[in-house]
Amino acid sequence: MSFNILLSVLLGIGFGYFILPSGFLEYTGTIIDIGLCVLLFFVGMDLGRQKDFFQNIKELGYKMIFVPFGVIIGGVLGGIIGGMVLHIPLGEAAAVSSGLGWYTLSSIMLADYSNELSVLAFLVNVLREVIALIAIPFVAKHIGFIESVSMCGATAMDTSLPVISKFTDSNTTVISFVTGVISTISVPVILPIILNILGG
Amino acid sequence: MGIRLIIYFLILFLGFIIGHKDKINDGLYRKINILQNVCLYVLLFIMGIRIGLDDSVISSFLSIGYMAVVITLITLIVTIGIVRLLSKLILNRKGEDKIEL
Repeated sequence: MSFNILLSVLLGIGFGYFILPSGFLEYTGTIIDIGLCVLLFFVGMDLGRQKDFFQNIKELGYKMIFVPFGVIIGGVLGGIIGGMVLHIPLGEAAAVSSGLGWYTLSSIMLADYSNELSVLAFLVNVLREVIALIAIPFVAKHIGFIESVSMCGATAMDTSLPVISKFTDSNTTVISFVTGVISTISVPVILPIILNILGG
Repeated sequence: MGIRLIIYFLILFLGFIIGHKDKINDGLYRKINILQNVCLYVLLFIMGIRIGLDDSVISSFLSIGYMAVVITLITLIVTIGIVRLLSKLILNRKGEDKIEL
């Protein structure tokens, strides 16, 4: 299954790079929006078919908040360790990784600080989304459902949600949506804080 | 982002209502499942096209791609580790893939 996902993304990259004209880019946003809405509708339907859905969510309750909390801490800490390995300023590496997969916002927010950092933020967060999508089936099967959600970060509420829904269960799908929402809200708050504290 | 979030939630909710009311029999559900797979792969394919069409992504990947790969992989491993640890502490999870309460 991971192979099919990888193949779809790689075929797309190949088509985009070698075959399609650059003018096609403006249509892809609309196609993705429509496709995403159709898939989210199906995800909702899958959730609705689970008869014990409300009981499960009631039991999970506030406990599910630890997932986005772990995602945020992991994003910052992972960047710091990455900075140590690459010998680049820790604050800059942590700011880049605290984009949590939201590549458009993180690269825009870092554009004023430095162009190089903005490009790095874009790449890191695009890669996070692509690797997460490819690795979800493997991580869900061999490590755990919640761990597969944690990789997605901010994309857990949209582009990664259909994949999470397909390879995990209904509880995890709800946790994924909540994780994505909280991660998304936290990026514009945490990224400047990290840059100020560690980048100064 | 706010409006987008509301739209996503409303679409999920609409799907939820239809799924919850048992309007869909198993035969139709299987067909929908196939459609769901097709949509997913088309979406991933289009996402790939977006990356491939953006020359700046490809060219910058060739120059600083190794840094991006290192930061991304370390971030993912650390995140999985932290969430796994927290899930064991908070959910008292016993199974590997189920959420034990």
